[in-house]
Amino acid sequence: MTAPASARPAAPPRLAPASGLLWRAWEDGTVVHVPVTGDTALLEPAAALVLDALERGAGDPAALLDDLAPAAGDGLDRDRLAAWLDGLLERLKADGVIDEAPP
Amino acid sequence: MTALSDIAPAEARRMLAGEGLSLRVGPYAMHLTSGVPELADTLLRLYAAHPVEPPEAFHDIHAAIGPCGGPRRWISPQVRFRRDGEPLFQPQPRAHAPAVLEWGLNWCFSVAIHDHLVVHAAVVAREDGRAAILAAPPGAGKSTLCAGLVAAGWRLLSDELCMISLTDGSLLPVPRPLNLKNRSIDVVSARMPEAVFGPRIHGTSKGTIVQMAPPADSVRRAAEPARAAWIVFPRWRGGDGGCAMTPVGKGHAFMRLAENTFNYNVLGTTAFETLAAIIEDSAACDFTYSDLDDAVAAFAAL
Repeated sequence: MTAPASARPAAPPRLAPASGLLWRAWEDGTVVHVPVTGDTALLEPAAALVLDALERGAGDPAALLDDLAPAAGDGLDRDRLAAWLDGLLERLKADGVIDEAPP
Repeated sequence: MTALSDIAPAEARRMLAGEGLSLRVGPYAMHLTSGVPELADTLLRLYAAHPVEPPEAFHDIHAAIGPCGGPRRWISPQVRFRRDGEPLFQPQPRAHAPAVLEWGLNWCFSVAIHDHLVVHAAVVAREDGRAAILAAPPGAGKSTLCAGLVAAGWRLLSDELCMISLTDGSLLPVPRPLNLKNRSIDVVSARMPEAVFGPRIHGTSKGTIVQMAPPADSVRRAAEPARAAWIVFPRWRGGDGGCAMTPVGKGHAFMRLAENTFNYNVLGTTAFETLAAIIEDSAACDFTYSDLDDAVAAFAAL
């Protein structure tokens, strides 16, 4: 038996790099250029991990978490990684680096 | 190729005051006119080695310096820079005309040229074609360092404008006079007594200025591009602090170079890709110096 559609948990929004986004990852940071706004910004180095994962198709926070968890190593528990990822995604969305679309 | 020095001075002065002089600076042709006789004398000295273009050539820049009218011309004469016939900037004292011309041309290059990435930076190159981009705000000692390196045998591509090809990232020379200011005038003239200098121009908004002609060899090789190998952010510090090179991360170097790129926003994604390639291929560092000999030695060791 399946639950009625209205009772299903809302699917997470799809995340994707901003349209036409250009970025380069270097040791001291990730430089992004958002063609739509013309903005260029230096972000934390880890932004590159998220952008890379999004470009490989990890389109929502849970998928991103699965993608990043192996690279984070054994010493970091999943909850802490999720909290860190949430913060980073919020910053990337605020900077227009990633877009959020309905699922 | 006819150089400006090949033309009889009287004829060059007549052209400048009349139909105009066409000079090639790297990939660009400038059409200059001036009704200020003293400026002609300086121009003939500082641009002596530059090729003269035929009058029918396409000109990227049309610039003119002329005297201002009104009763003031008898009391305290002034000149004004014009681009395409339109006046730019406030009138300046007539004695400042050579400086006004170079500042005006800098402005023209920085706003009118979009077939290259135009960065506010000096560029010098070694014989092997590897170049150092010196990016710094005014007053940081960029021109002094540039002149010192030129005196030590580095080829001058530009004292003020780094032109980066959008197709292959090479650095295009645009050799024009170096602008030396205040204390650097004596430092450089003592080091390069054989160089050609313009008059001392006192009381400009940047203090006392002397312009130095680009080496003739640099002008002759203006069609010879170079490759960026080092991006240096120089800063002169007084006293006896020696000199120090501190590596700068590529991300930070990108942002600092982008901030100094006049047409970054105009060229958008092309600018990003071009600058990123330059950063990728170059080592970047902050460089502080207090003695020009030490600085030149540090660059020799790069």
